[in-house]
Amino acid sequence: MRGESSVGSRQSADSRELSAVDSLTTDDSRLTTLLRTVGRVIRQVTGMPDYGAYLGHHRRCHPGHPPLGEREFFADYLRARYADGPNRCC
Amino acid sequence: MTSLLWVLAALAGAGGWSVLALARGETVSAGWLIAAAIGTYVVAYRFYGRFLATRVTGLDDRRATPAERLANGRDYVPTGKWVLFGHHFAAIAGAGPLVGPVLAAQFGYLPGTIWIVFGVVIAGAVQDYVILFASMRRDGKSLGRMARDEIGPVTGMLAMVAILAIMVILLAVLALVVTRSLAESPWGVFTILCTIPIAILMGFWMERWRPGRTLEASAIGVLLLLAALVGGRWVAASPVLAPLFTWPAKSIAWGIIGYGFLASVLPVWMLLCPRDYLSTFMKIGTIGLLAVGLILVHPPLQMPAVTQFIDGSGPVFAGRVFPFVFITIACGAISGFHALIASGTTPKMLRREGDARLIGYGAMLMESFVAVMAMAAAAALDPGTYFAMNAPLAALGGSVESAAAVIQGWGFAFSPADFHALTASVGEQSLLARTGGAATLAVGMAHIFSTAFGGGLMGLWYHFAIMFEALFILTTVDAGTRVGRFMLQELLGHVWAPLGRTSWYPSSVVASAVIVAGWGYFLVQGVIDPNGGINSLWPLFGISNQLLATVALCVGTTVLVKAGKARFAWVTVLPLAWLLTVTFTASWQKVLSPDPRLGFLALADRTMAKVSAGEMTAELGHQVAFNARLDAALTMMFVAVTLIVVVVSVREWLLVIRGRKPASAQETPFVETAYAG
Repeated sequence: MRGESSVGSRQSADSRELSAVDSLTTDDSRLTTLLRTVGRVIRQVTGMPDYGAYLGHHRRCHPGHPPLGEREFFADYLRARYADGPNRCC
Repeated sequence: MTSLLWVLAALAGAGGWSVLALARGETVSAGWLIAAAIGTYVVAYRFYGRFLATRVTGLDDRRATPAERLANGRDYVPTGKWVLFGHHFAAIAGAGPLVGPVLAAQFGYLPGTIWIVFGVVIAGAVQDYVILFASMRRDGKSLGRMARDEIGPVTGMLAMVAILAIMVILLAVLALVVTRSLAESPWGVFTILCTIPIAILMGFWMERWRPGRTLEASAIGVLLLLAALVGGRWVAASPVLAPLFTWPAKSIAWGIIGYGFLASVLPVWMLLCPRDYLSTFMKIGTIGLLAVGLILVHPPLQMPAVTQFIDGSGPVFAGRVFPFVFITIACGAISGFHALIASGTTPKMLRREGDARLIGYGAMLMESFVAVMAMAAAAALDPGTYFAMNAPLAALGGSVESAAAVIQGWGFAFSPADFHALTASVGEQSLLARTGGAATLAVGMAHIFSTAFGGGLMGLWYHFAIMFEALFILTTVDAGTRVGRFMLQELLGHVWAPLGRTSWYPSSVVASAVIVAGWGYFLVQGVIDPNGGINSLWPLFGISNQLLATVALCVGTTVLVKAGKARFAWVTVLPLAWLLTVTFTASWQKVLSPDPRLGFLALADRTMAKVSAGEMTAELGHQVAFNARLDAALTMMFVAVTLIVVVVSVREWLLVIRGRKPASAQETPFVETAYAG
């Protein structure tokens, strides 16, 4: 997950949740980084959409194009995940 | 140092197997079962897994994966290998590896365990790995697409139809397992009903009120779920509320049918997706808890290593140990369904080619371990309890006392007083003939959990286990209905284009109704079946799942042969040959055996004879007989489809091997990775 923890977009749900603690000390920001990583791992294991990661990807690969809004991204993600084929087994 | 660890693992495995093999007549600790399994997995992963990765398929870390080349931040996302391992494991693990071993425990713990552990090494993990590899080299194409592109359009179409038919049987049998465990159980019904409003609340939370806060919503959901579990005990104890939630099996079946339809036509975010998250959390958490509990408690295995029922006279399901242990335990040793997952979301997330070995081969070993744990939990019960819970009512008679006579007649100790006490301790009115394995597993898990973690809270742990199983089975039911609906719409779209539009509401409703009616029919038939339904439906499911595995192995072999690796094709041909032997023998017996307990056609004839003799009402008799013939027809259809796929595939291999057709795999061309190191 190289580089993706540096996603700092204002639009990201993660950073919105974390903006309140931005001004705290280094130890705390290490803790928030850890929490953010844990959150990301849980999202990926359970198959939850990760808007922050999408924005990071979008900025890297399609600079200049506006990214999908958060709502649109979720709708798109759910469509891809539950229409494509079975994603849960017996 | 590392080689010392390998040697230790090998010794643990060898020690476990020798204790299991040599101990006759004395009880063995479940710890040996676990040691034998883990030791075998470690050695298999180290040597056979590596052989598959390097020599057979030639994984190349310099080759960019689809996740890197097609990255879109949505489904093509490069993912760390341990995270992806968790993701893939959560997708493949379900009720199958838990229920199958519990049913197969009627042969004793040894036959099932041997198949689970060696089957996965030689067959199941190989299938998952090879399909994952093939899909990864083809931009994440699905199994159906690969069958069409590599073998031919007819095979592709047949694979689609087979997948749809298997899905219908799978959903019916899983729904039946839940129905049997919730019947007449106010505590269980209340808890499971609560999951629906909880999921809807989570859905609105994530979609409307606090968009994107999936973790927050899930935390709230899990807490509410545990509250509902505790509340269930209070409901069951209340003289006013308990009757409201005490439902007979038939009402529960209709409830599940209605639920499956609703979940398929409602927007995904409202019900399906939040339930999926809830069940994933519960699944990973509970399986982890079970592993810890089993290792802490390592209970003695009270079931004999081998019972007299290997001769085919067992009450749980009919048929001899060969071929039926290999049919009953499908998932856990090999599951064709996994090929759909291994060619679904997972190949689009592999960051490096080299990770495929851990994800494809390793995650399946983990699933096999879940099956071993289920076997250990079932075998740790005393055999009398096991058979009282798993034999159908028709065999046991209507009461615990009549069951005692039957079970003692089979040579197992059984105390009615103890059984009544067990029933009361888990807060149920009856545990007799709770066929389908879920309730048995819940009792086994409750024993382990209450010994390891929570002194004496049998009732709470039992219903926790029931909730855990029902939750993710129902998630499979709703997700499967939806997938079935899309597949049907795609097929119908060839007939009349508007029907193929998945966003057109009337088409969605009609297609959902057809799929629900399909599995709902088999579910209701299973509920009214005097022999408990699991008897005929579970083997049908096992056969269909194993036949799907043969289709997957055909695709896998074709991919290897076309890639010029024909000399290694035995890695998939060997399990393919074994599965064909097993499934064709089982299908033959299920259709044609003269024993009405085993053969569908003989059952139909015997039922009609009973009707003529006035021993059965004409209405029920006709239904049972029709259903048995339908099961026979379905089995023959599965066999026919598989035979065609196998014949067409073998022809293709021979053409390539003899040089009459170029050995050209349709892989995406090599692109060098941009990742460092």
